[in-house]
Amino acid sequence: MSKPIDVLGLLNDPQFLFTWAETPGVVEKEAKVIEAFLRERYQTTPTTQPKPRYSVVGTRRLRPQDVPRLKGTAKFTHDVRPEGTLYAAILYSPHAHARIKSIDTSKAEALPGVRAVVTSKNVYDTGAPKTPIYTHPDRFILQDEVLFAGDEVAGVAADDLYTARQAVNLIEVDYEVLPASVGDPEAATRATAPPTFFAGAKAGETAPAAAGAEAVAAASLATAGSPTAARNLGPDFKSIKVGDVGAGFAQADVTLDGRYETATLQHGPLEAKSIVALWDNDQLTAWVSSQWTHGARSTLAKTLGVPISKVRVICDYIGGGFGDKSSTSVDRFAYITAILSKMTGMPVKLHYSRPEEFTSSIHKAANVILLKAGVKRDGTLTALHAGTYADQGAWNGASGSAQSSQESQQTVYQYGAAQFDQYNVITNRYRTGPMRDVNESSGVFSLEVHMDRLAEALGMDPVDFRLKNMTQDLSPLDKLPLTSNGLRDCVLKGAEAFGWKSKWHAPAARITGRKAHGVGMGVFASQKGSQSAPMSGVVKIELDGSVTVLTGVQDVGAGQLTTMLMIAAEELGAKFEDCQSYGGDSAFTTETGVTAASRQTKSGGTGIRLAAADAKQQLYALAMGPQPGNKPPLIPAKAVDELDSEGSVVFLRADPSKKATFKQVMGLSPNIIIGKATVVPPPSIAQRAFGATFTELEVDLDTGEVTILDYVAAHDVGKVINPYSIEQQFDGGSVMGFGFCLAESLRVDPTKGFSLNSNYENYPIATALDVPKRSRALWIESIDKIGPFGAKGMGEPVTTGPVASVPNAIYNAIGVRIYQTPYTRARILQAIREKGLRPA
Amino acid sequence: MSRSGSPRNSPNLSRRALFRGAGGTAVTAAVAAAVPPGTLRQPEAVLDVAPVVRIGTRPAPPGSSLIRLTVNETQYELSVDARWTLGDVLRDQLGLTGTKIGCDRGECGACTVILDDAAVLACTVLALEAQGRKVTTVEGLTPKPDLSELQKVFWEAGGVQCGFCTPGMLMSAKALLDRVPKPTEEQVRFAISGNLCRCTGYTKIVEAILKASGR
Repeated sequence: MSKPIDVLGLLNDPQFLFTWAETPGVVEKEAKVIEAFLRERYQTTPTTQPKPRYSVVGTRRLRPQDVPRLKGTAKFTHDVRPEGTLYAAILYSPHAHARIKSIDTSKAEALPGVRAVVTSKNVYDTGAPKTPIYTHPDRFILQDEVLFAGDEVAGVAADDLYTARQAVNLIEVDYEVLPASVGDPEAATRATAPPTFFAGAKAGETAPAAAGAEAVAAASLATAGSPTAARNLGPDFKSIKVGDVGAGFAQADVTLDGRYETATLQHGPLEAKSIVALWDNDQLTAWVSSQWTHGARSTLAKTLGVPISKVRVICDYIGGGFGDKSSTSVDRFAYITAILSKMTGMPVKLHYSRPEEFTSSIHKAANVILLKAGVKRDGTLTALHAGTYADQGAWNGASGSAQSSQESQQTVYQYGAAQFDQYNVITNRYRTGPMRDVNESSGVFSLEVHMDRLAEALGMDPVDFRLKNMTQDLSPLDKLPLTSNGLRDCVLKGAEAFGWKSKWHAPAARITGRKAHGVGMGVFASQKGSQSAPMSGVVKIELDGSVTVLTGVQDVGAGQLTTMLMIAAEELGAKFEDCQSYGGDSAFTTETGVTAASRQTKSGGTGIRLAAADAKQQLYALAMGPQPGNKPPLIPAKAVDELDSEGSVVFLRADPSKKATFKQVMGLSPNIIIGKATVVPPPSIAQRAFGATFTELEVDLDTGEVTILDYVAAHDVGKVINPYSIEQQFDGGSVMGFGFCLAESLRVDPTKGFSLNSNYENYPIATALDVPKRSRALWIESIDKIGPFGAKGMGEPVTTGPVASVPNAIYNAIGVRIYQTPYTRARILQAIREKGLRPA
Repeated sequence: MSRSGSPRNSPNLSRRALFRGAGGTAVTAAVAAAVPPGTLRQPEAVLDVAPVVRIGTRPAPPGSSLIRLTVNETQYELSVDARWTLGDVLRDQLGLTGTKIGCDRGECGACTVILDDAAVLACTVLALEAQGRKVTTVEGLTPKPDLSELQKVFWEAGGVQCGFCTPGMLMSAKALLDRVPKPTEEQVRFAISGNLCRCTGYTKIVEAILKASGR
């Protein structure tokens, strides 16, 4: 037996971790040791160590932070208004692409109550360095080229909001309107499409080759139209190939092509984006509605040209985020407000109106997805070729969204050979960025419809088809062992709970009167919820033995602060009731990354678990150490690993009658205990959350209305930390997912590119009347090898779920495929009429 | 480009100090000349000394009107700009920020308050329209320091996530239960169908309201 590697020791060595994080090359050898360990052994690490028995984890806990929310005393950024606050308003471009020839702010400045006006002319006068604010070198806080209808042109600060908005309307701008690309993202890559900035905006110029342009031409799907031009592609084109795709298709008995489209979506958090900026000399305090106070802090510092230490970002409570308020979204609106505050010497507040939130915030990228798959008669997948065109919008904000769209496609099935082409397309439609699952739902929709079609072509039960081809122990692309895979259980247990065998029928075979009954299923893998750097936390044991948890994890409403508290309490063996967690302020928490991508249970949770372990070691050392005046130790032990704790009592494992309460132990200490951790996850770990969903629904053949009768979602969650919170995540996340399937689509005028439905009235998010009749979650606890206590993230997989099965159920009901989300009544009615189920 | 304005625009002048300097219960008249409508934002400061809480200036400057309204059983008197909504006044003048503004156009229900005995959207009721009427906000629902029964069942059932829609949701629920003590699930869903929630999927909110009704 080989000598076990002391992973705990390695992970707890601050020098090692620091150098690993900062200079990977220096410690490559050690990194490889850990990687090898994790790969080959996947034994317990300090971040997992499943316990034989839990006293906190897995128990249903109400959350202390919800009490102020219920009383109306919780302070959202929306509610913050320091003495003397001025209000900001922003002027936006009405054109999808234009150059500002001149701008006249004199009338706005003359309006009584106006304190400052900022445009591209004076935006850098207060001392912010004129450096690009974004990945693209042409992006500044304000600039003369506007790239979509809703791009920022100028900002105003005034005594009240009415005056600020009135002043914005008095600013006169003369635009030179430029050609704009506002069509679908695949069309935008054709040679005839208007060039956007990546392709060179000047008329008559040949589009410079974007990175990988030739590869694009070569990689286009031979069967799928003509995406042969390389126009308007973002810099991150990729074509990933595994095996010989040509040979794979040659072995296939059946091949199938498809073209799928998904819509632009918006998060619609009930609290629109908000910031209050207040300068005290060179220090900035910013209350920001943010999923990442530390990220907002560092981007504000960089853009405004001050050290990070001089910026404090506070977000006590946040009114929903869903990605809208994550890293990239602290951009212009925040910088403009901070500069207006600097110009006036007063606190300035900007709170987006709902149309601003819908138009000028970020969006989920629309996709066009081309798929070709080959399969043998026995159901074995031989090859898949996927080409994904992700509409990155004007700012390339959802960088890598084509990759996100393909994450499930790359992981959930084993193909003989596969090719994945990623086209991130720059257009003049909106500004994109992360939104709950980024683009995984788009990829899942296309692939699960495609697989449903293949199963049908072979005459196979869709469940059997999935079971035959699903991923096993290794991630298909990189052949790394998965940290856990509960997919088989998800499919089998989900099918059983749903009653798949008895409910499944031939397409359009159960029509009663005007109601068509249908069932559908699908599977997915999600890369969201992965452990990713940075991971940190602080756990203090106070002098009375109570425990304070400080975390950079933002409680966005999913109960993250309580999840962190539970992880700390479980690791420490502390009473839940004796612990309290705090977050939402960069001044006293540590950077642990953005609370997005479902990552914090695993990432922030790992930081907190290791910090609690650190505190526990100190507590145990105190308990077994000599007492003052040479009295014997509270608990006789030779090493800390002879001790254990539960319910805020430390005891000798071999003789639990030898014990002391945390309070007694802390009585020996003149100081509080500070447990801390700053770690990075090991590289190259294949970690996924899996799921299988089953939908039973009815389509009204006269109205096209869809009623969800039953929805069963089996989610591989690793380990449930707080059942109370995960049930809520499932309820709300799946309803949002049903919205993606059935209703939500943010539209632009097809020629001018301006927004058509920037409000809740016309962008229909689900109401209490629109939710499924019955909805059930099954938690498959596959015990992840690296998540805290085996947990995985679940905020996004629950949202991805519905799109895996709803489109297939609608097909099963009406017998017509629809290849575009959302499945609106109009689209369904059109399909019904085409099929002849009802007269046109 | 910063413009200096009247004395009230000076960043060095604390309005609270001005308020205190004016002294005692006569503050409202004393600051009339220098302060625009509703500038005094600290109603607590005078709560103890006056049965009617006077907010802002008197006489009112041009364009505003002096109104009285009853909020959570406290009578207020204040001058309001004709453009101000009830939501503006509750939040910005009275400091009752429990009422949230989610869309400011009557679509989301986050600003739901009870006016007399009906749930209304504070963003689409002008402050002038609330003149002489009884307003109940989430702050009026809460017996300090505890939660009301309705709030408790919301908590226990899991009806709160980010919490931004919660005050409006509670007010819609209260208005329903005041009128229909034993609603059906359908009535509950209908009653809160004007309150958008992007986090919860409504399931546990509906459960909570049914539980509060004793069903």
